Parts: sequence; C-alpha cells; structure tokens
Amino acid sequence: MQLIEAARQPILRIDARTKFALLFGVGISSLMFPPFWLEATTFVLMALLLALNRRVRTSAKFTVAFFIMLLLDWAVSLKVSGGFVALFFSLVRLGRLMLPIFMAGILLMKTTSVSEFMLSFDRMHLPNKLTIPLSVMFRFIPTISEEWHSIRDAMRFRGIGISVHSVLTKPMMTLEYTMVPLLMSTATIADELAAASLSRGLDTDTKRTCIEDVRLRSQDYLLILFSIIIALTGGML
Amino acid sequence: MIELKHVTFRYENAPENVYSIHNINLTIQRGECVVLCGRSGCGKTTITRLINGLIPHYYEGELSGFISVNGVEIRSQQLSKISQYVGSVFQNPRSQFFNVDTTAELAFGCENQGLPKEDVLERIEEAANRFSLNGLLNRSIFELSGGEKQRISCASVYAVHPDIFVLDEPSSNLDPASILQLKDVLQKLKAEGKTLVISEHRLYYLLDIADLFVWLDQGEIRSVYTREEILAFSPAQISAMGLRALDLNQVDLATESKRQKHTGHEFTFQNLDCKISGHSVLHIQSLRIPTGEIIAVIGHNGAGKSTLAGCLCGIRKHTGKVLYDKTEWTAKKRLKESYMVMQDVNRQLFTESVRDEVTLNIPEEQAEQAENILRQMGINELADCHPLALSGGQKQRVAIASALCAGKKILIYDEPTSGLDYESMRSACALIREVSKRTELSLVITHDLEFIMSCCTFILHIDHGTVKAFYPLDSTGKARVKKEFLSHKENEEEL
Repeated sequence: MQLIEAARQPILRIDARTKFALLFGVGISSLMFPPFWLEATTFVLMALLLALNRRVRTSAKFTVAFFIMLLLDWAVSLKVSGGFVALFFSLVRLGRLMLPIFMAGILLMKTTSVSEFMLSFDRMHLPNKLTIPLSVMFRFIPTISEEWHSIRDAMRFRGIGISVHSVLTKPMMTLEYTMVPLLMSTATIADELAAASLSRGLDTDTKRTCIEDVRLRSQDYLLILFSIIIALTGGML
Repeated sequence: MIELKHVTFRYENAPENVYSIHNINLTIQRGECVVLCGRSGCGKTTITRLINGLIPHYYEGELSGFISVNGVEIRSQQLSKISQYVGSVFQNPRSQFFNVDTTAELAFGCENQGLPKEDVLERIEEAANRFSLNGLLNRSIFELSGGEKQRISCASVYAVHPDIFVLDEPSSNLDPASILQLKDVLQKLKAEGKTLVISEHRLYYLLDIADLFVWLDQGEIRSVYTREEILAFSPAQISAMGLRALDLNQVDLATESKRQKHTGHEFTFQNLDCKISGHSVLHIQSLRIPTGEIIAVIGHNGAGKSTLAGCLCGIRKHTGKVLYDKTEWTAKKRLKESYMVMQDVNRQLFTESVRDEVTLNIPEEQAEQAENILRQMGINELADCHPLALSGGQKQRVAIASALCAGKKILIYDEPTSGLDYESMRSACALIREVSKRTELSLVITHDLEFIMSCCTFILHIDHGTVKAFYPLDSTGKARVKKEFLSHKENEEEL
C-alpha cells in the first residue's frame, strides 16, 4: 500500500470545496482592485498552496511573473508620465491581478482527482444530474487545451495561423477557423468520454467512495473563511 | 453467458431501413473468447455496445430482439449495475480516461461501486501486480504511451472484478510491441476464466487466445470459424473478407519494386537537435533523404517520430539545419512548403464547403486548378458538400487536396491507416502513392506493416530520438523491416 500512497500525497491537503471557495473568493476580490497589501497576501498564499500541493515549478513560474510585473510597474511609474503610460500602467496592473485567479484555477484543476471532486459535491448534497455534467466538464478542460494546440498547428499549415495581426484584422474569420474544428473534434471526444465513463458506473445510485480522505480539516475552514472575507471586503478596503 | 436472439438495431440518427445489425443470433459461453471481425461498419462495434449496455442506455435507436447477459435482460438493467459484471475497453485512449493520474483511474470504477477505501486500495494493488503496472502508478495519464494507456484501461476495468470483458478494437492505436503487451494481458484474463468479447479486424495477435471468430458483413453474421478454420484461409481470402493479415510473416514479399523514379534532389538534415523542457528528444547528426520517395517512419511510441515530423515541417523549434540540395530551408520556408495530414482530420477542416476548403488562403491563379485537383482526387462531386459531413476517407482526401492546391512540396501523414480495414488501407495506399508523384517528399508515420509493404519505398527507423537506420525498401529492406516488426517480443523482454 505504501507504493500507492507515497509520491502522491500533498504536504497540505485541501478539500475540493475549499479550492472552489478560493477560486471564487480570489476571483471576486481581485476584480475589485484590492489594495496592494491584500493583493500581495493573496498571491503569497496561493503560491504557498501550490507549492504545498507539489506544484513547486508552477508556483515558482508565477512568482517570477509577479515580480517582473511589479518591477515594470515601478520602473515605468518612476521614469515617465502621461496618458499613454497610464494605460500601460493599468494593463500591467490588470495582468498582475489575474495571476492569483489563474493560480486558484490551477490548484483546483491539477491537484484534484475526479472522484474527490464528485464526492465533495455529494457531501454538499448536490444531485447527480448536476455533478455528472460538472465532472465531465472538469475532465474535459485538459482535452480542450490538447485539441487547441493541434488545431493551431493545423492552421499554421494553411497560412491562417493565429497571430496578433490576424486577430486584429479579421477577428471573425480567425474565430470561425478556430471554433469549427474545435467543436467538431471535441464533440466526438465528449461523446466517447461520456460513453466510457457511464460504462464504468459513473451514474451509480450507490454511495460513492474515494481513495482520498474527503473531509474538511481545520486548514479548510480557515481558507474558506479567508475566501469569504476577501470576497466581501476586497473592494471596500 | 451472453445470449443474443434475433437482435436488430438501427441508430437513432441513421436513415430509415438502415440497420447497423440485422437478426443477430449469438451465444457466448462463460470463459470463452470470441472475436467479432469484419470490415469497418459491419456492425461489430454495435454488438459490443449491446453487451455492455451502452445500447440502448446511451446510444438510442430502434432495438428489437432479446439480449441477456448473465441471465439478465439488458434493457431492464441499469448501466451502473451492468458495469459491475461487464467491463469495457475502448479503442481511443484519448477519450476513455476520466482521471488525470493513473492510480485515480484504477480506483475510479471501484469508487463508483461504493467499495470501502481499503478494498479499493487492495484491488488497485492486485491489478497492478497482475499486469506489472507498478512503474506506472501515480503517473500522469498524459505522459503514457498508447500501449501503457491500454494496459491501464484493462487494469482499471479488471479492478472492478467483472466476469465479462468487452474490447472494441483495442489495438487500433498501438505499435507492434504494445500489441504484444495487450496480447499478454488478454491471455492472463482468459486464464482466469473471464469471458472476452473483442471486436477487431487485426487478428494476428488473437490467434492464440480466441476460441471463435465471428465474421460479420453488412450487419449480419455470415459465418463462425474456429481457430483452425480461420488459419486454413489463404492470405488472399483473408484480405477479401476485409481483414488484416493473420500472420505478419505472410505479408506479401513478392510485390514488384515500387521505387519511385529519382528526381535527383535530396533533403539533408544537419546536426538537428530538438529539446522538450530541457531534454533532448531528437538528435540527428546527418541524414540525407532522396526526394520523390515515400518514407515510412517507424519506431516505438515515444521514440521521436512525431518530433521529427514536427521539426521537418517547421512547427517545432530545433537547432541545426535542413537543406534542400545545397540551399538551406528555414523553418518558415518549410512551414510554407509542407502539410501534415493529421490522425484526426476533423482538426484541419475549417470551412463550409469542400471547394472553399481547398481554395482557402491561396492565390487566385492557383485556385483555378482546384477543380482539376478535386477531379483527380475523386471528390469533384462533393465540391459543395460540407467537409464535416463526409466519411473519414473522404475527409482525408479533402485535406490532401487542399495541400495539393496550395502547392505543398512536403506531405506528412500521421498514422493514416490506424483503425482501417483491409480495403480502406489499400485505397489509402493508392492515394498516397498517387499524391507522392506530385510532391517532393512523402513522410508517413506508421505502425502498419501491411501498409508499409504495399506503399512505402524507404524505411526511416527512429529509436530513442536518433536515426537507428535508413534504408530502401528493396527485397533485403523488406526482409529487414519484417524482422524489425517480428522481433519486438525479444526487445520487450530485454526491457
């Protein structure tokens, strides 16, 4: 049993419900332009949580990005001023505010198994009719990104690759060339995926179990409380 | 025991009177291994769906007749109940995993059944030991090769302890070594007394396992053969039934030499090196490929075949040079001159009609020859159809026609024959040979020995990110490539 248990255990286990709460809390607070100290606190917390869930590299990448953006912000505000700078300034700021949201998203997507996810829903007493589509969607996001990469390659062969230029000059056409193949290939995969999961008993009436311990621990309560507080106060501070 | 009596089925969206299967009578005893074989569209997949209950519980349509599995009529049983005693393995590894890591995937079926955590862990361990998966636990599904994925999916079904295993073309996406691993898994299942129902047109790896071969044609069971009976058929008879060769050794050696005429040019790779997140996945010191040839790129899953193709056509970053004769072709130039026919063609059709598709983004004067090309490809009558409404083979033609219209010189095919029956494979062959006359270079990534023998002119063997061998497919070359394919077993044991 050691074999199975070893490498996969996170250092600090957080429940899927908490990860959801964090995503919403961080999302709402970030979009309400929090003061810098709260933004920094949120960022540090998210970076820590990622690292503690064995996503050290992701966490490091985000930290580097955060500091570069901070530096840019600082350097630009010192050297120049004017309308154009203000625009640039707010764009960088906006980008920086998005970082914790992405981190919360990654924490939820990459460190939660489907059965943890479903069992958490069960605990919240959500009906099967809601949890099954949600979990299929959850599973589907990495697939879409895989398809997206192939389609982008396919477009480059036809000289209709996506670039800043193509998006600005012919946005509708670029959208069409992306969406048509994406919808077609993902529709097939979604269909096969649903069939495969149903043939393995996804829509069971019996109470599901999970090899992970799904329960709320003290860290979960603290983090949920934190999410609620920042969501409520983010804009007011 | 599985019983089908007078079963007829029509899919919901199929036209009236087009039945996928018609009046099927079949009884499969406990512990038997039955192979359903025949051409694409003969109804073999439909029968597997009847047994695992996906018809009528997921795929809807008009169903008549009587189907029972272990004495229970399938229609009156819930899908989640059926999944306790019928386990299913599907052909596309991309779409049959529900978890991102392997251990969670092994646990998934048991968790759905509500088994206590301790039992689930015990069963994972049991399945892992049974199929020697210990090195594969706790891994990301996305890192695994096709063969490893197929082993994981067999094991995750096994963990639920079903008596019946239903496999739908499980070998379609596998290289020869992985097929042998699959065979090993199936042998173990059979030895445990599990009932196996396998839909497949590649029979060679099943000859030691199967008790009966059920040959279907146009939705009906035409005949049922024992192993001895099917072995008595000549290779030509097997091909005529739409099936792939029974014995890779039998694959025809005597076909005429298909060396294309040399155009006198060549592509040269110099010091090509490609890294993915810091690891060198492809390194080619020097390689010269004559133009006008059809090159089969062979090697294990993960050996670097796709990376090579990606570098050649300029979509993958690399160091080193690619020359056409003496002039260097930059990545940008190569991207402009090349086209890749992907395994899933749906990803590369963008417009609303076949005509728009082939003339997409090309200059006026080139567009004029579009009609001509459509005619030569045999799809001129489909010019106004929506590309996505076509069959798989037709889509492939549209994709190739669009490459020809754009005047592409390098064509790369990514496993064009995976999952194809004999006739479709032959027509893909004819197509690729025809197209190769109009381009400078055709590169085909493939695991299909029959296809290689009937279509290709050179072999490029990639192993561990380097060129293991590059040789023409003359009579010595043919013997060599065959040996390569048949000796996989020993290689496997060395690993």
